[in-house]
Amino acid sequence: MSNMKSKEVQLAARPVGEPTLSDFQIAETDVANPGAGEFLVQNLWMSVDPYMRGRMMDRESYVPPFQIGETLQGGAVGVIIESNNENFAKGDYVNSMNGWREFYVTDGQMVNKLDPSMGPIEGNLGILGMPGMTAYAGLFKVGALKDGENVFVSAASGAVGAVVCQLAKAHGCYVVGSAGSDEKCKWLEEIAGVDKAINYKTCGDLDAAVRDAFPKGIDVYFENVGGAHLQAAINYMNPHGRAALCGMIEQYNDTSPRPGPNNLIQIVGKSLKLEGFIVSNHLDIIPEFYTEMAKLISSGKMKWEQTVETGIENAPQAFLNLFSGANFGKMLVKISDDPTK
Amino acid sequence: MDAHKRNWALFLARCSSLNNRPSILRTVLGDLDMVHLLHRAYMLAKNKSQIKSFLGKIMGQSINRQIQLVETPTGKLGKEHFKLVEGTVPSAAAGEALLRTQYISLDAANRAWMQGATYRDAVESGQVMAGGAIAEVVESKDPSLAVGDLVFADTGWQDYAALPAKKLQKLPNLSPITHLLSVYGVAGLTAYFGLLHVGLPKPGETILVSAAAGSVGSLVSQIAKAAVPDCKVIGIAGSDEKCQWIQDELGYDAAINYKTQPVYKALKEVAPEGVDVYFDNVGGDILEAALFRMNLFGRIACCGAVSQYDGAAPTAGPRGVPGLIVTKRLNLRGFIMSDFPEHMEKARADLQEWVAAGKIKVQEDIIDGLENTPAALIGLLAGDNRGKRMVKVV
Repeated sequence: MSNMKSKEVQLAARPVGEPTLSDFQIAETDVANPGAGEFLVQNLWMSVDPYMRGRMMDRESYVPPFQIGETLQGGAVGVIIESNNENFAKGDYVNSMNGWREFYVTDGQMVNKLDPSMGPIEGNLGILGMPGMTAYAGLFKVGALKDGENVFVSAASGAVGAVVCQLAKAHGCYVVGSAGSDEKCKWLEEIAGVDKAINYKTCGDLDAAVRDAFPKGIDVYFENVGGAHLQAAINYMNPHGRAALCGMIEQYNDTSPRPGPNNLIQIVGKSLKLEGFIVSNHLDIIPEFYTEMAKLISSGKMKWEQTVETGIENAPQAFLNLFSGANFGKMLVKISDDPTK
Repeated sequence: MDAHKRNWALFLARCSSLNNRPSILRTVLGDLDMVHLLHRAYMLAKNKSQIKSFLGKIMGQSINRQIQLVETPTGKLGKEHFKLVEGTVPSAAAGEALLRTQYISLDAANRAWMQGATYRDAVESGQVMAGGAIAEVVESKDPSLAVGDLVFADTGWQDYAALPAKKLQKLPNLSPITHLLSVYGVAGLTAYFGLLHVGLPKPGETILVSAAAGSVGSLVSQIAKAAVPDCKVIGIAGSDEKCQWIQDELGYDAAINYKTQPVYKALKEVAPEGVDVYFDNVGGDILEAALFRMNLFGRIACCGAVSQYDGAAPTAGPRGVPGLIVTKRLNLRGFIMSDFPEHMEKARADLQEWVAAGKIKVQEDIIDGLENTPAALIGLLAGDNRGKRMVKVV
């Protein structure tokens, strides 16, 4: 094992505004032999997610910032190729935050064993992983969704949004999603089954499009983008409406915070709730999440798309694609074929 | 009849709205000596409205003065947006009661009602300005109410209103009755629910309150000190004098004058530990400063946005929305007191207990005379008031 090398992606410079490839560097490190109680994992898939942009800035957030010259972190699934740990066997599949690298050695802390019978293993980075759980927690814990309500979802064909749309439909809701291409909108209406999709790039006046799409107003808004979407949602939210604020991809690359919606006064007049959340504060949902998702997936009521880049060297490009909207559904990097198959 | 006398007769008739009653008008015009007498009395009188009132009385009726909204303001509210008109006193139909307005509550929300529909319909131009008041039943055509009962009602800014009994909220007869508009009324219940049910403060937390010297803000600090052990309460107000007053009289631990200090920096100094609960009465720039100083899982009780009511809509909202709400997992929640019917009884009992125990000192700012109501609201929007402002009508 001692001559094994792991290719890893490091932060070369803190991006200012939109990140570029030169903000990243590829390094090669020696892979250590696993010691007592340790095991060696070969990553098969890794996730790139919008929230990682926040960690590239040197500021306080819900996770500490990445350091320059250190290997990045993120969700990854891999397979154990050598183990000295009695709880983890060679051939087990595991989920970890040790993405952006080919191999790692661990004692098993912060690493979870996966059940490959639930579906494709990479699903644990998307629909069954953090994005799926985010959708579930936001809709039910933060949004307090009731069956039959009116739901607006931004970035609706994304990894989180697509799950939000289909969960809400499964609960008898009227669902409108917004996305940035006709292809994505078509998928939302025809495959994911939303009642209406808005192409925010071509609809002209987004505010009017949202108004027209919601003759009965909005009860729950699932926010993934910020800006004009939030403004429009607030305008048409019903009294006691809830907004689950999950992200703001439109604004991650801003060098300074941009002004927010100018209609926040309606929060008071309509007794609205706007709540920010991240999934790790709602991990109590996991059992019910798996139960509901298993039911929906097996009955064909939960569809998903993924966009795959191949090779660890292409991980930075995959990350950049998130901000141009070039991905469709969950953006993944395939690091290696499964060596056990 | 000469033209001079005829003009005076018409003038006086208009004063008492006799033009609505042709038969009475004919009586006046027929008795020219009477017209002449009233003319002289009017010219000699210092208080013209007394003469008008007298005229009304001798004709066997009272005058209902009412303040109407002349046009919907698009910018700053001014006296020109209102006019005082005099009409006849309405009569109560079956199921209604005729009310004599006693004290009109003035609230920043009055201005918001002119901006469009909120939790109530918008007030349109040409209508009597809406407003809640303590009123006395002077005539009842509903078995649930008796003459002399005190009620809380949306009488609007006028002497008399006839309203359906089911829209009236019977009030207990406690003294002073003005407390029914302040600590036991909308202001007290708003402070109570906003702090305790929306802000959800935990012992030892830091609580920030804007418009701290206002009707609601003057109670939030005192409720916090009564109900939340070891909390630290910081108030924001618009003058050094108010800042001193809220610390001396209302239990605020620190105060920030937003007109002379940058709020973000001042907050960092007086609360380096950050803010856990922000009771927001103003919105705008102060909300922005607070967002940047909120702790993880902080709660913002959105009670009002007085900075946004009086003027056109701002071009841009606070920075940090939605970014800081997401990264700090904040909860911003708008509310009005009527969102909490199931807790109303406990709230009233708690407030009465704290007043009785001297934990809450009730601050009231009472303006005399219906005709001064527009100026009183304009002043309130400019932050002139200390504590709960109301207008004494009779």
